[in-house]
Amino acid sequence: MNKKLCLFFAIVLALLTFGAMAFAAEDTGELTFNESYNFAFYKGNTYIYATEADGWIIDSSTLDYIDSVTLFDDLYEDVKAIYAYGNDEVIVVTLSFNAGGRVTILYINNNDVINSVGNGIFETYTLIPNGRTYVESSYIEVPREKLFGKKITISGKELVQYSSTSVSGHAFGEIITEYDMGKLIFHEDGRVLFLNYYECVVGAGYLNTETEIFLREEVIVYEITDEEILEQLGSGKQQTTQPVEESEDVIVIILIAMLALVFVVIPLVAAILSAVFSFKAKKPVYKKLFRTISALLWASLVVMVIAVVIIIAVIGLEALGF
Amino acid sequence: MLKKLLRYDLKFLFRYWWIAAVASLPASVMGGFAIKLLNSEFPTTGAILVAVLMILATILTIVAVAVMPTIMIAIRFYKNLYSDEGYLTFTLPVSRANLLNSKIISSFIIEMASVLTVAINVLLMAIIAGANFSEIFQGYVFRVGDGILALAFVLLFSLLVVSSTLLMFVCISVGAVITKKHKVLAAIGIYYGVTGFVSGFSQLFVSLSSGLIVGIVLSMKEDVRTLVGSLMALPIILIIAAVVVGLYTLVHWIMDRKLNLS
Repeated sequence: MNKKLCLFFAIVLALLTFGAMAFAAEDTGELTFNESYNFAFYKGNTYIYATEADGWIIDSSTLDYIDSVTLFDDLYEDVKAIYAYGNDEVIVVTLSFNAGGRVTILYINNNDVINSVGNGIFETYTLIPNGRTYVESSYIEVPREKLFGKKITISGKELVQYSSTSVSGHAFGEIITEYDMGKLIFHEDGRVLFLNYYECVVGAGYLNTETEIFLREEVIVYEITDEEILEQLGSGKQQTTQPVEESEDVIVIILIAMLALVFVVIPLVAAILSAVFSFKAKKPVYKKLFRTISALLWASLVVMVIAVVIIIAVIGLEALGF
Repeated sequence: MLKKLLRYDLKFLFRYWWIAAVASLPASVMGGFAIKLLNSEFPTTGAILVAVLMILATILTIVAVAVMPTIMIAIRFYKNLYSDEGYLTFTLPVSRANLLNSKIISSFIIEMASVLTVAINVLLMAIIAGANFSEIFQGYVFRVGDGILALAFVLLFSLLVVSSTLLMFVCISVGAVITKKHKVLAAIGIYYGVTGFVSGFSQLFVSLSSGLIVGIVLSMKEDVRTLVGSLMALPIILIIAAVVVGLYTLVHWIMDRKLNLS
């Protein structure tokens, strides 16, 4: 048979199969969601959203997108298709909107997810006070059971102070590639702790819910005791405990030095040299040129001093409420 | 005599440039229609391809209008003063200062003409593409502070144009003085070295200061921000003016004392 014809029939067959599955699933009418669509309830189980599909990563911004008035009001179909994989572990839901947008969300069975996770990946990002993030190390891969050491509690304040690393999980082979499963905490006292999102965070640890954990009096975490992992994390620990204020101070000092060099030191030296050259020059044209340079630079220095004084005065008055 | 020198310098600089300038106008009209086509509701793949090619052609034409003057200025300065033609130029009954002034003034004129042409082209493209100017300026109220800042910007821009031209003249002059065989190559090398150093330093400065300065500026009220901007512009303008005079002095001194055309 013609190869193209074979391919055509295969596609039609696949579409029919998926269509039938979708129809069957919709037909059960059991799938419901909570208001913000971060929980799905299906066949008596609770599912949480997991990771990406069709290029959408379900994070706080996507939730904002779903929640945004224009699209949320336009939602014309809660469920476009429901696919079940394995033992009902994962369901895929597509929310469609009249405006044409679509958000596909993968939900994982909340009860089984911990047992299904294969390995954890440490990706190290440090949040520094002005909001910039940078990667300290690419990642190290560890078996998930090594994350769960001694169970202890720390305060939300400690968590916000020292947590810096998101831990991603691999699971379900081809269906899910990676998702956030927790956080690493490099405590000041040297301990490395693991915060498991699925135990203490509603909605699997995205920005909106993370804020909530930071406000808690007590958060349950696990102390990582495996020497090999601790050794691999050594460099990250060292960098995250480094006080950030000092490095910002250094930048300010360098900046002030550069400003002083460009606007004060170099013009001052050049003005003095030009004045000297203008006295030494024999040709009137050079005398005139050097005098002009010197005058311009002296003027710039004077104006700079006046400008700085006025700026400081204005900012000071503004701060005092005038 | 300066007038005559200027006439010949301008004649050389505008000789080919005007063709690019005139050609850029229909190109911009074409570019405007191409943008409009891309913004239409359902453009076909073929239409997108044609539109992208049209926009590319428009950009290339505008770039030619913007870059050509710099190349022409460098060629004119080098050929007229440091090649064999220089023997003739320096026998003219004019001072070195007049020769240099003519080059600077003509360069400034063509650079400004090029800026104006690019601005007209962009405006033309925006109008044809359907930009809503009333929306852009909606709610804008002119204030004296804005006028001062705009004036400072025009002055600063003009000085930067002159200083970059003079920097090019310095590099060509130094290249012509230090070597006899590879004057152009030496000039290009010096130019890249100097501009590389300056841009490296400014990039370091910007990368260190941008966050902090933007933070300080944003924390100010709008009126205070305008005042600070105007006040800080003045010393910067004065320093760049000093740099311009310094570069002028250097070129003049090389032409006066170090010139060796043999």
